[in-house]
Amino acid sequence: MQSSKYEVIIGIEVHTQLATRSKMFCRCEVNVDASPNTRVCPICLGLPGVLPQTNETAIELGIKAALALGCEINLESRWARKHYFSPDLPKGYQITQFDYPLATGGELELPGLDKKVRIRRLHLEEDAGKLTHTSRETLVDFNRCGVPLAEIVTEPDIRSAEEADVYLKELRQILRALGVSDAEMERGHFRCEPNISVRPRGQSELGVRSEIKNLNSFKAVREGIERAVKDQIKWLEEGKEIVQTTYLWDERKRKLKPMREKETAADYRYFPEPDLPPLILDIEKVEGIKKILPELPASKRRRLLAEGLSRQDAELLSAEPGWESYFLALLQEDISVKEASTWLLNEARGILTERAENLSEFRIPVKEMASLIVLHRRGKLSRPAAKDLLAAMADSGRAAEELMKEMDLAAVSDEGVIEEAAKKVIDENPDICEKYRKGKTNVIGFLLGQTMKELRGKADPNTVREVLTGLL
Amino acid sequence: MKELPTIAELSFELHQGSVRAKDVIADIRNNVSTHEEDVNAYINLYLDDADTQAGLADDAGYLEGKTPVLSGIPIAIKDNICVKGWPCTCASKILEGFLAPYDATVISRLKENGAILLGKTNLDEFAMGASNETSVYGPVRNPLDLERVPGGSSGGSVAAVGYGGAVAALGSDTGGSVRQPASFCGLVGFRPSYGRVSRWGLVAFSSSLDQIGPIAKTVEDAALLYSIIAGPDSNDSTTNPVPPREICLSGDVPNDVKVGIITECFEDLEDKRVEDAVLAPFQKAGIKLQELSLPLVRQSVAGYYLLVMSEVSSNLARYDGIRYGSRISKLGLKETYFSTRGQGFGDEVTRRILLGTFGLSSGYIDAYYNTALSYRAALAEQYEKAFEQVDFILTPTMPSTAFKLGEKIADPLQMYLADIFTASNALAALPCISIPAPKRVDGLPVGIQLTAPRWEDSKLLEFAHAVEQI
Repeated sequence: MQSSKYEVIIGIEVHTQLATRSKMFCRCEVNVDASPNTRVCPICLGLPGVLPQTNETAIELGIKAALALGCEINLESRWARKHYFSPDLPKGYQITQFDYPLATGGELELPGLDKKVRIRRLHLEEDAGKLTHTSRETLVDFNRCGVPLAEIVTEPDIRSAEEADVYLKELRQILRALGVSDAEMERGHFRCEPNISVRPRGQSELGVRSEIKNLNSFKAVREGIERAVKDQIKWLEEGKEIVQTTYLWDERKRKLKPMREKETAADYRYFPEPDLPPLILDIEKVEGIKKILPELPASKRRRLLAEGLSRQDAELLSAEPGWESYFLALLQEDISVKEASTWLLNEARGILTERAENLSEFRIPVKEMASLIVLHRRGKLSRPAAKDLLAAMADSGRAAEELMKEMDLAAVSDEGVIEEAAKKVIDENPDICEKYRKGKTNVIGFLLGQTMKELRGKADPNTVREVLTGLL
Repeated sequence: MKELPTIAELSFELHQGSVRAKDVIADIRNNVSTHEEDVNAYINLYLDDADTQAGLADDAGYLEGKTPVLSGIPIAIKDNICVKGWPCTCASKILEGFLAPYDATVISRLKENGAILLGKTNLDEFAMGASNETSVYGPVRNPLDLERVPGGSSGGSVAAVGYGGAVAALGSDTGGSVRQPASFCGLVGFRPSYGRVSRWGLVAFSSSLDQIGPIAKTVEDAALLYSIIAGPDSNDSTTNPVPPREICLSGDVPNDVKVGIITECFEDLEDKRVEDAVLAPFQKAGIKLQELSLPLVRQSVAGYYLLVMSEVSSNLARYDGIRYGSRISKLGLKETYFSTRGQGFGDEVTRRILLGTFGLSSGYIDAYYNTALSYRAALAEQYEKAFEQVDFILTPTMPSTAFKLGEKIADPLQMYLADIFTASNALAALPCISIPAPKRVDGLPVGIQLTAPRWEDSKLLEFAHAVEQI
């Protein structure tokens, strides 16, 4: 980036959908994919005479997220109404928090960048419905209306698209690790709205901001920010006046489309929500949540690295809660960190990726996975045979030993059998054997491969190598 | 007109077997056919259904301690309270065709206690008005003098009880809408402490002030209805989780009772005959009155309307014609909003939405809404101080008797000033009641208003009942 002459200042707002079963202010099920307008009630439809009732779980999840971000929980926060007209906003206002948010003043460490981003605030609010525009009409689905959201706002501490990317990925990991949100970006669970300004290096006042909405992937966030920075630098160079503008990211054209300028910015007329008393929290309740907070990805990463795991494996384990617990369960079964890394994070994960499945769909229980690893360790199962067995176990969910016998995968340990196979290979490849004898010892690899093939992969390669060298 | 019994009398007679609920419905039918056309108290009346229900209650019989307390008692409901399956119009064109899909909490509680619901009564549009002249279904007239207004906004509920169209009714009071018409029609109107009665199912006008309250012929009836509808409700987070204390109506004025009168209210009174009528029973009973100064009361109308209009602009944003009610379709979303809302709301509602929107706008909110909020807190504090000296505060409910139709409707400020005695205690969230003074002025009723500290609803009803007996 052309950052030598200019300084880029970025702040980010994230709206993340809280993983509750019911909505923020009514008892409707959260199910955005259900057929349109089937998860609605008088409250979320804003019928005359209804009143909101807060969802305790949503508040607890908000507290969890805020604590994980090192925020101070405000023991008294308040609800407010934010007004605007839209067909997907049934009450004509959104219930949110304004002057008195749930939490303020935290920070997030950017892994690998030796930098912290300050968190300004975290507050709770309700989502709006969804509009679908066809060529003739606009349809509205209220299933999403009233779904709980947490809005997390940073200070303008981010200096590049790269940092924004790291911040968002780390934030997403935390939310997922805590079970606060599924934070699936493509599904709109994790909506990022960066605001970007550029100023000549050394200038103390901030430049004029561009805000970007409709960023549905990390790639889009990066590209959108880079675009905004380039545009602003260009305008500054040209001496053009920059107007505060909100843009929509056009994924297809990879361009920013102006949505509204500051002069036309909405006046939301915030005022205290009279239907809900202030949200008063018990200090004991907050402390209680703090105590049961799971280990955060950053600390987990540090611990796993210390245990000898590669950075990549550590990343994976700290990002996905399921993988870590499976991994730790394997260690409990006396499997070493290296073995677990090889068989779970490489082999098993490879199978799942190939099949486009999640860990939750993985059919091998921890105990059976461990017994496969032990069979291999004891030389009863060669590596290729173990891979075949793993695939078969993943298909059937059956026990390792039983399936190994049934598939006849047990390693050939009888040296006579191995010798017989080795002799056959030597006889069939006189030229290669000649090369070996003349000193080109690396051809042994070929002979080893052929012999293993003869043995259908069931022997320990080290034993085979010994037998081959002996014979040659 | 066949005079209807009170709830207490009717309940007694039903248990005695001397009257059947069906007979009362027949009396109501007669009274309706004579007066309803002139008075226009009801928007929707379901007498046949009521008759069927009365028959069922009569057939089941009335057994002390077994039959629900309101069994066989016909009650009218203001048409801004939702009754499942019935239209809820709020006397507005914009809610044309809307059927409430659920019962308000007060309605569930009335139904559980056996009440027969007669129908929905007329009101000022969205309860905004003091004369019941802003209803899209036409004005309500005072049954005591058809030239005059019944008061508002619960004018229909009061008028229905007034002419024998219901035994009692529910209204809603934001800044006097139960007490003021009760005063104009010679009935009892009770506004409970804010937070005593669930607002679930009451169409919001000004959420921080709206309270449902009973309208009845006697304090005893009002107390009975109140005891049924009051109490905590999980559907309304602003209700007090502590249930109200049981009410014990002895009819005796406590010996050491301290009653205060707000100097400012009486000073501003133009018609001294109203003052005389209000003070008479207290003088007669030898109750000493202590003068109190609450200077902030003088700004209560201004403070009240700033808050109310702000909340109105927010609460009425939902009427956009998208999901229910009337929609006046135009090409384009904005155009549809403009025509639906422009034509769906009447002048008074429109005025309040516009002024409220202005009062909450950036650059103005501090001068208007926020100032009014601080005013409200200071006023509540002044009341609290006053209640360190006295048990109850006495004022007239209204500065005058019922005015004539058309007299104030052209001048909104004059109309707003009618709330001078009923807005301040509502702002302070206090329980207050209007009971008819024994003495009338020019043959028209005058209301005595008593206010108690917050949550002292039971004590207030007990005292009001004693004053009523003087």
